[in-house]
Amino acid sequence: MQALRRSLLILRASSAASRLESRNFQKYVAPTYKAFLSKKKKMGRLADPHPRNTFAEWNYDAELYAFGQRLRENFEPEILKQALLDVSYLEKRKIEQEEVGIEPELNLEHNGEMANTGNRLMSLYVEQYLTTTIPKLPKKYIKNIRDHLISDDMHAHIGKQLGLSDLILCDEYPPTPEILVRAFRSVIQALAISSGADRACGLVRDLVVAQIAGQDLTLFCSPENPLKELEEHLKSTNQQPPEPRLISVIGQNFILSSYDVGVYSNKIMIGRGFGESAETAQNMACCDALWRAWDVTVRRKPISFKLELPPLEKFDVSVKTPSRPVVT
Amino acid sequence: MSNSHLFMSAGWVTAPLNNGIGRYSGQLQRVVIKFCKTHGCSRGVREFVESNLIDFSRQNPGVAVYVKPRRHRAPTITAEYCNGERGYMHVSNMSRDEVYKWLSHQTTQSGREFCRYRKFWRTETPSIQGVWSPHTFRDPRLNLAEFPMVSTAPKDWFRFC
Repeated sequence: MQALRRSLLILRASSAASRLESRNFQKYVAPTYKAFLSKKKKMGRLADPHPRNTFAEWNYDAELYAFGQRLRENFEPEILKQALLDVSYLEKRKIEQEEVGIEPELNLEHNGEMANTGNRLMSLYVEQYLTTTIPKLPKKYIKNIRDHLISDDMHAHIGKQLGLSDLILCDEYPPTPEILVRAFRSVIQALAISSGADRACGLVRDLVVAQIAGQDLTLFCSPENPLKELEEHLKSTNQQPPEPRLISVIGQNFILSSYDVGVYSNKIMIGRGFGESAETAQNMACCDALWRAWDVTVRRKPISFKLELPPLEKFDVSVKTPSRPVVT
Repeated sequence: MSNSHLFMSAGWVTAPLNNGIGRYSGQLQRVVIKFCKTHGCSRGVREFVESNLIDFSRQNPGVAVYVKPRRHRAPTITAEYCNGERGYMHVSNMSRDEVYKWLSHQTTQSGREFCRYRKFWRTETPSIQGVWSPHTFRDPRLNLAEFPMVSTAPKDWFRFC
């Protein structure tokens, strides 16, 4: 009986200890968050984040200078200001002036035009850089990588990480992705105008092209019909046509079956792939052969991001040296 | 992971925008130094403003510095980073050197929210030799084997499975 009592005591003590050590969310958490939410609803628009440029400690000129210095570039202040002036800001000002009864008169120009020119410069330079660093990759796949690098999502992300959200003059705060995209592209153009296209290209290389560092490039170069593409590739390089061969099968007619297929040309293995069916494995093997030929596999030598390329004019004849806008 | 980390987000060691692969740019974009002109606890900050602030600004031209005196309030440093995050620090009763050190420390930060690191290292390609598959390291004898096969070497039987 005594032994039973002792064991019961020990049991009770151990269960108390486990209760103390349990890692649940505390009881106060949900009520606290609910209270926060109801207070935020009561505050209404006051709870929205205040634009940084409405604070007392704000000097726009100093901020713009610091922005240039962070990127180690020299922008001309007037041009940079124009690059960060969004169309929504001008529209808002116009409406405000009309409400007061003043005839809308603004000599300012928004960054729409600059954004387009900057984007064109960026797209050309990115393509030039990729063709130089991955010379064996066909053009249509180079364009896939380029489209990824100059996509709106990518530019909005870069613009936000550069701290443009505080510097842009626009209607909304925080700025929407579209506003960020326009501003980032215009900043590139502003640098091209201030210090020449070469400096702007250098900035594009360091900010935009460097985003593919460590990324799997095979995701951007997956052919729709790998066998056909491989045949064409081998034909164009005067090699024997591809010959897919089954190397081994494991778990045939089973839900977890695995096929191992190699692609041979002139009895030399040029690619190898796995898959749950023979067809998938063959496609993977052809893809592997192509990726090896194009030099975009994971094991390739890392792309250099320090190259100095010849000026853009030599790559594309339609490029003109950027001209300064007439400041009124 | 301890109990205090329950509300902390988990993540990996990363650099914003692959910073440093192209060119390195400091992530601290502005600093607001608030202090009192008369109170004793702001003494170190006052001395810092008098003698070191210009040097600091020259060394870090990418940081916009704002100095804001306010009467009878404790001195603080607010550091704002490019990604929109901000760090807030009390510097009461700190000496000049300590203030300088903390400010220099802020210039080296990425501004990312504090998070619990899942691991202290990270790689996109964890295997150098390639991912294991059931075909890896198969016995080459299988290439010439005839099926059904009766193994004569019982100690090797599992290698043919």
